[in-house]
Amino acid sequence: MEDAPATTPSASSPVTPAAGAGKSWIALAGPYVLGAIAFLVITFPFIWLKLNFTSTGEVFAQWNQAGGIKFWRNMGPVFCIAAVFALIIWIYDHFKIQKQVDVYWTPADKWMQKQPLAPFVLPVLLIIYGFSGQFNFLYAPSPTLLNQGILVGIYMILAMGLNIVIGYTGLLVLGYAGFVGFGAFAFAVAQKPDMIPGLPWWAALPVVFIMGGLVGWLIGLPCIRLRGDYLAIVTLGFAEGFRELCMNLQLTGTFNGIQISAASKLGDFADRPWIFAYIVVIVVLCASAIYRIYHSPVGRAWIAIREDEVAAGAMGIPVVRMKLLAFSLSAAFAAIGGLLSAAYTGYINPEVANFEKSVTVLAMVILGGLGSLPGVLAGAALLYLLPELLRDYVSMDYRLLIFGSMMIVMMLFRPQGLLGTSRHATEMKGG
Amino acid sequence: MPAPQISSPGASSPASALPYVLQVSGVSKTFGGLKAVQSVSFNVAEKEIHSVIGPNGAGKTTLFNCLSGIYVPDTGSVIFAGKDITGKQPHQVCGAGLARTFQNIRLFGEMSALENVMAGQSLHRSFSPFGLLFHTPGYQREEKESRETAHELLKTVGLSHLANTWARNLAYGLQRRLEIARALATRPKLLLLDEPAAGMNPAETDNMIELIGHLRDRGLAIILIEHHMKLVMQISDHIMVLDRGAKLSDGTPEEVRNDPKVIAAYLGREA
Repeated sequence: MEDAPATTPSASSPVTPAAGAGKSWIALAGPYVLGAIAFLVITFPFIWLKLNFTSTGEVFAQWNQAGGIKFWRNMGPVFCIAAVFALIIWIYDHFKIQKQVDVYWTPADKWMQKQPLAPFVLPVLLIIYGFSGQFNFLYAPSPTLLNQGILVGIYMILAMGLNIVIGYTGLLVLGYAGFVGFGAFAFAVAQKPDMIPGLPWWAALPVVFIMGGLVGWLIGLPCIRLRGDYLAIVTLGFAEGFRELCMNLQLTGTFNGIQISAASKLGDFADRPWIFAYIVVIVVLCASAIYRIYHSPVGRAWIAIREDEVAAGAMGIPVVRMKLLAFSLSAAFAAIGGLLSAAYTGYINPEVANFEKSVTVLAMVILGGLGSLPGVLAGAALLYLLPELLRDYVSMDYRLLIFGSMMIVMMLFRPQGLLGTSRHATEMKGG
Repeated sequence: MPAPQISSPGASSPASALPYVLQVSGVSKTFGGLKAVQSVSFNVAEKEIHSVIGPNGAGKTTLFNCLSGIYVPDTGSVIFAGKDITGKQPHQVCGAGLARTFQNIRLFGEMSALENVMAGQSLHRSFSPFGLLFHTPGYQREEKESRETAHELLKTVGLSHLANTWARNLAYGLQRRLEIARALATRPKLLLLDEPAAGMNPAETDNMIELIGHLRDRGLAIILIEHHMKLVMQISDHIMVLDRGAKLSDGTPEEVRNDPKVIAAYLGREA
């Protein structure tokens, strides 16, 4: 990495700025050239060849030039994404943004800790601002952009929720979409004409939050004692089971799903600026709540469990109870994320709980930075927006390819995630 | 640092005169065919430093794990301060007032030294969701007190200048001290120290002797596993020798030092 020892004085890192310069270019670039060649060789049959089946059952491979050219043309944007990532990381490191953030963050952080109502200031301001009719300016951006903003907000809630359980507590959960689906369906079923017609989404929100937490608790109860991979598989099973259940129950409308009535929706097309404002308020509330929980004895207990479970137990932390709390809190945030997406799109089907959704949110958390709240928010925005903004250029078939390659590159170059940095240590003078 | 001299061990008050804080009777633990601990019984009086020594694999750490709730003993009972804590969960044992350190250091690496100690205070913190979401005055006061206590504990073990350093980045000897501070944060009556001086140089060992003596003076009872004979003989009130899971000998440092069985176990029997 070019740490630019020439321009920056860099008093803090006398580590090895010159070590990279001493190495030859061959030694530095060699592994990547080899990797690229390996990539070309391995993908060759899939990209440049096409299998043909004759009527007699014979199979033969055919040169497929069009396919290959299409693939590489589509890879262009992928390289662009990689470049954007590299640029962000380079700026982040080169301009020592973390340090600058720390300088301003520390007083702000202390101030936040002292103000009982600080998390509510921004939402209240936004609401007042909204009521004063000033949201008209939001009509200026295209509805598509607002739509994307709203969906990013929903993904941010999901990512923050998953971060509690994976980033803070260190439990691997692969079935997060199951809880998202639960929230969505709990709301969708409740607002059906024969249940509670005209149920407003904001009335359902706290109820679904609590219900999601309870379901998380119940699912967690038998399996929280499992470790690592086993817990991941159990939660995955729960999500898949939930999806299959919804596919087959009349109550949840089988594979047709459920239509959300107009009264229960977040709003229609013309209300998008308002919906965006609601989502912003909810995201800020969730982020503030999670921030405060993280900086409390509860958060410290979670990190202690992540760092060393045995020692945490021996230091008087009720490990099972704290894990269950993390699990059910994350399920509760998933549930309101599900509710919001159902109430926004106005339609829900069992595919909300599919595995790809779990993986998408997981990718957001890992890519943004495990355990880092700003990182997770950035990860959610980036991973949702990049494929959306590239929609015109890349066929969606390549979306998973982008995910995969980005994950590999990130894990190689920046295992802590995009904005994942050293945990912000508790600052305290005197005492 | 002042000279590493503590009150002379022989002059300490007779342990039998004090009430027992820990009564262990007939504790056994078997792993498959291996009898790691075989019906070990002992008592620890208040303000007593009780050392457990023995060759490698004698079952010392297994005994600690049985006491602190990490293992459930197969037989026997552990009575702590009048309460039966046999087979309780680790956090319940800790809540009763029995804290421990680990032989292979188990700190919370990505937390600062201060946060490590504060995590040790979990037992004495209220987890009220209302308080921590809205930062009620009660919560803020509690948080402030908690930090101040944590700073004091770090000062006790001589780490106050490193409060904001990650535990993982501390030097080895300091990590051992931080473990002790973290254990003290749980406000124990009895402290289990598992090889606190392992891998330390003589100067660090002397500091550790001083620290342990200081802890005893604060009114703590201590059970100590240690291979460092100088340390053990210098500060112990009582020594128990384990060999192959069973109690071999028991008594004051002087008695144990002269016990032929102990000499045989350590040095081998004369042919």
